[in-house]
Amino acid sequence: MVFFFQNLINALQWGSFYAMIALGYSMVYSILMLFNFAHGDIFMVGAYIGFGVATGLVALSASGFLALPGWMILVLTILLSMFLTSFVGMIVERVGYRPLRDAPRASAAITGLMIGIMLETGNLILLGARRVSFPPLIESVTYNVGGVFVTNKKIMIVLVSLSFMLALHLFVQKTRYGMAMRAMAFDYVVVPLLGIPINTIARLTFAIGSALAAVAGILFGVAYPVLDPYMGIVFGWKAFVAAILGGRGSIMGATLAGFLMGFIEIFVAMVFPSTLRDLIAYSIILLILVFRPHGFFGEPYSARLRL
Amino acid sequence: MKVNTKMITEDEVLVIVGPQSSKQAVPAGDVADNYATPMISPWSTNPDTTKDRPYVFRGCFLDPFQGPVVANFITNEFGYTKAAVLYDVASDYPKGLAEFFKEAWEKIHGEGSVVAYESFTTKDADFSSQLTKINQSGAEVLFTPQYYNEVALIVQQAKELGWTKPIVGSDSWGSAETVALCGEACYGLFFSTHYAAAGATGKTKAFIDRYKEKYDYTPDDVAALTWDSLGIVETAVKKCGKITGKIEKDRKCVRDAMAKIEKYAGITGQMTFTEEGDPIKCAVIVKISDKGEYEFYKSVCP
Amino acid sequence: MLLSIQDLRVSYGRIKALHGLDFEIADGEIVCIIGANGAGKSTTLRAISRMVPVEDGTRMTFMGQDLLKLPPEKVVSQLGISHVPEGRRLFGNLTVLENLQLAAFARKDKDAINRDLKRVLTIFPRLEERLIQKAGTLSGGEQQMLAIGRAFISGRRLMLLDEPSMGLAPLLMLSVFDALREINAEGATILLVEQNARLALQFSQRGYVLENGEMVLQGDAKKLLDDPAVKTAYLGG
Ligand SMILES: Nc1ncnc2c1ncn2[C@@H]1O[C@H](COP(=O)(O)OP(=O)(O)O)[C@@H](O)[C@H]1O
Ligand SMILES: [Mg+2]
Repeated sequence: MVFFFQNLINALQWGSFYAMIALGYSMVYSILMLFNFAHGDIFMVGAYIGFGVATGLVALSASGFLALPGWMILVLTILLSMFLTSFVGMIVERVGYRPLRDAPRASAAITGLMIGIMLETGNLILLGARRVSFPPLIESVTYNVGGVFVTNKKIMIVLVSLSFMLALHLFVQKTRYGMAMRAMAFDYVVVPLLGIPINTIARLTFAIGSALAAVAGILFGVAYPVLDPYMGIVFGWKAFVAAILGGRGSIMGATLAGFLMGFIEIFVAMVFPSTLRDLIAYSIILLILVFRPHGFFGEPYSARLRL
Repeated sequence: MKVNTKMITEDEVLVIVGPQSSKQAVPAGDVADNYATPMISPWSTNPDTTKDRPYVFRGCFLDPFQGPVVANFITNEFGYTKAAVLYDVASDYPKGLAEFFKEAWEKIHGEGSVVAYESFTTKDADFSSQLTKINQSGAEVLFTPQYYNEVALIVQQAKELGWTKPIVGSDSWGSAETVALCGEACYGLFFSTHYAAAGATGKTKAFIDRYKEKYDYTPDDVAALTWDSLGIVETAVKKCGKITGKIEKDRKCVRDAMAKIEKYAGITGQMTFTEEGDPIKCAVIVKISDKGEYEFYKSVCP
Repeated sequence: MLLSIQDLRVSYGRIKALHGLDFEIADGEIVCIIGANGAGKSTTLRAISRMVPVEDGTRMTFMGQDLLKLPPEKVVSQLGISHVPEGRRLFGNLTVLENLQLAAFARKDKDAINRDLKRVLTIFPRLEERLIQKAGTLSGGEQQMLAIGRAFISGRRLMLLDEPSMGLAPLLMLSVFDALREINAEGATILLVEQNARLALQFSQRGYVLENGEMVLQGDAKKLLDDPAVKTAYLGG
């Protein structure tokens, strides 16, 4: 039982990363009908921006100029990095996707891959082939709850990601921009006919997805404080799988599927030899897709691309 | 390789010390052996460098050797009987070492005494399910022959999951980055390696002091192994006595003398060569001190 | 003139859909364009709302402003030209209320928006009962009402309506057209495109007949109803 609960806690943390990144894929896909394959690398960029901001703030704090407690630095790091990373997303949209909006889907897909490679090599050029260590902003405290070990970091990570997901949900459901995004997901061609600039909505979607990726990147740095320029590749693929599993453009779906992926990976490793983890975990996911080809919340949908 | 061929055929060198990395040492060894020129690579750990090449030697021990060394060390030092292993299946070095350790450990403590044998794949960052299983298995010690970035993550996560027992590693821990990334979580842990600067005594200390005086920094294991390789060559050349000037004959003499060297007292330990030209020597166990330095803890022989 | 168009040419790739149309609409008018399937009626509306590119030489001005300088969303938000597309194209995943609110996306004046919303619900009381229902679950008639209501809110100096009668039962058709007349009486100019020529001509003041991308006839709607050529081609004899 203790063993089970320990894995449950582990899975919650691991799943929240998948969920946060899957959301970015899902949002962009839903409104533009294309997968932003650079998203995993935007996550990486977000983590590095977070690293830069956090290191700067720690230095500033150490200099005595502005003594900040660690949690305050973390909050500032998250907010500042979200802001900065959202610009990365908007630039990617502007130079990589807008010119190709009516191009064949395959061209748009490779654009993402190419931008991803550019971000990775850009990082290598800027920082050298170096892994960096994310500064420990909050002191890790481990609680032993009846044999189940939980750290303050884990609790913080799960709560922070859940709150961002909730905030995103409210944004999409309650605001007029959120409404426009949902409308665009349904039928983007008619959106301009209501006086809504689709470029603005597309840019906003990239910005939000990237800001969430930055949050994920920073929390990742808190949990696994070793960053490297290729950290977003496999992770991005897996989050992409979660986005598909959740169903086209469904925020709820991406969130649930992200957590589900975390659970499947952790629990498969709990039951089977860890060498077989990904093999078994992804066979299960494949099986789910066979029975639910549109994912959990996806609907069979045929795009009506023209008016 | 051109350089090597040129050295042998045009410059008529008697013996080669180098190259360091296996990538160059493996092909260089081929050239040296073909021209019957003795060569010693101080640092190449790939078995192919010396394999079936009577003229090629090395100054360091091979990877497999660390398996029994660590198994012996843990057994004698702590008296534990149940061990866990966590390694990267997708990477040759950790995978190989994990297997050698398991074999050695089970030879001492019996079948099934490695109670958890868990793996992951390169680039994984979350080891919580593996570590939870290891925690559950009743293991008394964790052996993880990983590189510095993974060491930091594994050690920190293990602590956060309530693991309080020792974690032991191999020479891949030896990079300064390990402690830089891992921080205090790694203090007090052990790993096996070729040589340790901090806490050295006797001959080794004398070498370090002289080196420091000259170059103003602490020699690393490559420097120490190179020093020993040079010493071995020197001993062999002296044994041959006079250089006849007939290069083929002299080269053969030096090779034979090297092969016959027994218990050469180097600064990285005593060495005797096997038929393959690999040294039988003792490994060093390093303890990461409370200041994050790599301290010589003890020497462990196979 | 509210809208004046000269030499409107549109091609889809190599297919030429419109071969140089000239027409005008005055403020407050109800004008229709009739024509067979594939004649280019929808394309004409798409050109006005800037959803398809036009060829060089085309001139379109709205209240003296060059339409070709504006992107589609500005045609709506700056000029007040709304477009109810063929097939209505509602956002089926949004509620009725959300569809209407979205139409006010670019508008700032809250009070005016609320007034318009109320007005739509008095014109189409059936929508009021369905406000929190998903638009995708509405009946065909209700969907047409919502589509018109949406256009009404987004801009109504000129409303472009693409086949509003399509798929509606005759009684419903009449009530939709009654509502449109009411909207027109309040100041909206209407350009209507229809395959149902009789209905369109009865409803309009002026009409144009489009054949294979060319305007072949135009004039007073009542006169067109009596025109023998129109009668044989579009009114069933
Ligand atoms: N998206 C499109 N791509 C290619 N050709 C089109 C497209 N839309 C319409 N057309 C062609 O343009 C011509 C006019 O079409 P349309 O304006 O839809 O006619 P109508 O609305 O009068 O039925 C037709 O020949 C039609 O096949
Ligand atoms: Mg049409």
